[in-house]
Amino acid sequence: MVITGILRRQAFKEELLYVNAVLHRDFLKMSPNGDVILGRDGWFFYKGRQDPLEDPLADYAGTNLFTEEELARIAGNMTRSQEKAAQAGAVFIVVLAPNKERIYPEYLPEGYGMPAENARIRQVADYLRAHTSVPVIDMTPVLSTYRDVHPEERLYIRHDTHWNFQGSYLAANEILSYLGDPLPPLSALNRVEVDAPVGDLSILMGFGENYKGETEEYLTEFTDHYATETLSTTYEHAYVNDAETPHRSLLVAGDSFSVSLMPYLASHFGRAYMNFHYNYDEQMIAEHQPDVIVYEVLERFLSYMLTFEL
Amino acid sequence: MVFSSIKFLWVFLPVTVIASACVRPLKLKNLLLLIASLIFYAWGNPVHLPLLIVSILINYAAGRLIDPAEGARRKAYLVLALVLNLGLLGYFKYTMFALRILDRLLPVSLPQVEVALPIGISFFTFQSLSYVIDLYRGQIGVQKNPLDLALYISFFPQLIAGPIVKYREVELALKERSVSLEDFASGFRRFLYGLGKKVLIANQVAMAADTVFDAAVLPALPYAWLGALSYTLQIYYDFSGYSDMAIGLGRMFGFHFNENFDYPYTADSVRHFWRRWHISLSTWFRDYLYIPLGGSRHGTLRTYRNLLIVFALTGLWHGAAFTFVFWGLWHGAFLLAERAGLEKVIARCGPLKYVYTMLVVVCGWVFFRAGSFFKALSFLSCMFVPAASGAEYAFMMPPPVVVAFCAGLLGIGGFQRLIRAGKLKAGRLAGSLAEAACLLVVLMLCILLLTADTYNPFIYYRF
Repeated sequence: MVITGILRRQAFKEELLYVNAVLHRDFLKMSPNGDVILGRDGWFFYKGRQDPLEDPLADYAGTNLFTEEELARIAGNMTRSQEKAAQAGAVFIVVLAPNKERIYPEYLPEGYGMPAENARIRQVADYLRAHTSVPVIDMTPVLSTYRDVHPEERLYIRHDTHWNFQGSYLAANEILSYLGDPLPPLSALNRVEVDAPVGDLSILMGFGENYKGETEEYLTEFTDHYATETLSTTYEHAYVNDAETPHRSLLVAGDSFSVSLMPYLASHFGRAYMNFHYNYDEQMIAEHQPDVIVYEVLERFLSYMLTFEL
Repeated sequence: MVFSSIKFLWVFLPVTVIASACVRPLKLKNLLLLIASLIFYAWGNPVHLPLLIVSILINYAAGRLIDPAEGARRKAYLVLALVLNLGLLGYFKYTMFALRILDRLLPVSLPQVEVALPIGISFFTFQSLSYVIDLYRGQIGVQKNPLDLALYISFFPQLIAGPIVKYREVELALKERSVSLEDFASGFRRFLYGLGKKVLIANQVAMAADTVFDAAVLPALPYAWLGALSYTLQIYYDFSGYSDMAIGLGRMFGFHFNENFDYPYTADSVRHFWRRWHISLSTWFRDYLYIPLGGSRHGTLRTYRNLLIVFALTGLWHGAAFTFVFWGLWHGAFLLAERAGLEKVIARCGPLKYVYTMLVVVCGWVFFRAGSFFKALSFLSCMFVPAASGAEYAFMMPPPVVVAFCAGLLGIGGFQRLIRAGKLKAGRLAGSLAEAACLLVVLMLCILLLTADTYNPFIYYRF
């Protein structure tokens, strides 16, 4: 077994990477991976540029603002998308999700300062509101406000880039509130402690599939009619909710941050479907007959708005 | 393949050691080591394996032709061997350099040719030349067995990064050798020292050196010095680490190679530095170029000329660019000055002579590393002239790099020379269980770091 282990792959590789990660996090107090920032209290942040269009540090410092021409291009794309949605009888909503460090800058190590007020995400939201009639929901205020009122609660996963159950609930509820159909407030909900999911950042660090000791709080009893998941692949998620009347249909073109929104959103739709924005196809409108179309963009992927259109 | 990799440590080395130990007849052992060496070379460079084989065949044939011949014929065969060996080296290593020079001199624009550099060609070419020349001079016997000659030229411990082993160092061992447990253990310990020097010191300080040298802007004075000193440590620990690994590995298989480094940074003059740095190369140039040119036997001016030629070529051997030639001449110039009387002056300066030597060496390395002549000069001016502006690198030295840098400074050679002279009690620890335990920790840390180095996952694989 050891021989085949050696021949097929390096024996003990995962164990060695785990030891290396622990040594770096606990002893050297530095990140073993150049794409990850080791913050305070076990918080990890992503600073890598593995996707050529992303630059999280520039997003944070506000050094990668769009030009006037680029903003106009984005506005044009969103306006045309709104028109196309309207032709199909759907409402089109743009949702912007902030990078984790924008909401939790205090956990970054020293030297990064505070997040720039005049950053891309704010720039895009302000421009679209001023120059188009597309509804734009920037999740930064709702997350920041909740964090200020409830500092003991965490809205993002510590060892991962994503928002957690609470953070996604707040975001989903913002969307549903805009549609006039809100869920109960987060503070009223029941929580169940569960082991945290695998973290994209802890994997980069070499901790492997388990990151010990982290837990999250799963939300229960936020609705009387939970949707049933009928499809779950790497990029697609679909839900059906027979109990829901009227039977409205939701289409989401987003990214991994949309995935955690779906169970909450779907509880107030008869049918809900999401796919990643780069897989979006006009056929989806015909196929799903949506009443609401949500285009969700994470702060570090804002550049994709330059080329996305329904 | 390189020694400091998981593939080598985890698979290649154990398999080769065990296989070699299981095989009894020496001829079979040699064949096994030859096959292992060719695999070692081909692993990283399958394209260039034929070149290595061709080089071996050329030198084997040359040996067989030179040995029985006499007079003009003997010389002709030698010249043929020289031309072929140096021709191959020249083509693969220096074509692009030559074309660049011609392109600048000639009014017409020459085509840009891309010639990939076969790893180790400088080493195995010089090694083969030493065989052929020593044979011509009657200092060694001809090797009639092509497989044994092939083993000498391509033996994996010294194939890629030296030392340049002279044939007479292994002539006997090829026919007859034994490996006692003591030899094996001491060889393995030597190997681990080398591995630690490379992975735990050289690779770490390299990060600091790269930060400063690869930046688009010039550094502030203290950072220029930190960068230069980091590179000074990097190149020593990297190169001498590799030599330690080579010598250790050789010993594990029953071969005894000569030392290649003798704590060069403890030298008290540039002349003594060259007796301690890359010894196998400087002795090669001394035996096959300096002495044939006349050495120091034909008057001062001729001696100076010979020294400058040797050092220019030493520089050129290291790399196909003018910065390397200049580095060689930089050392050559100081050697000349020392011969002309400077050495007597500095010998009277007490500890300052070490400072002088290191200043020459460190500044020389700036030319070696900077990438262009202009950049080197700018960098040196940053080191000696405080400028109004210069980049500062607050995060240049994370904790592991600081530790490596300090360890590097402490291990320069002062303590080791005192131990060798019997002046330090720590010398008793050599070969002890405590030393073995420390080396085991070194090995584990190296494996840890090397494993992590190869781990570059994509954050979006789940997306």
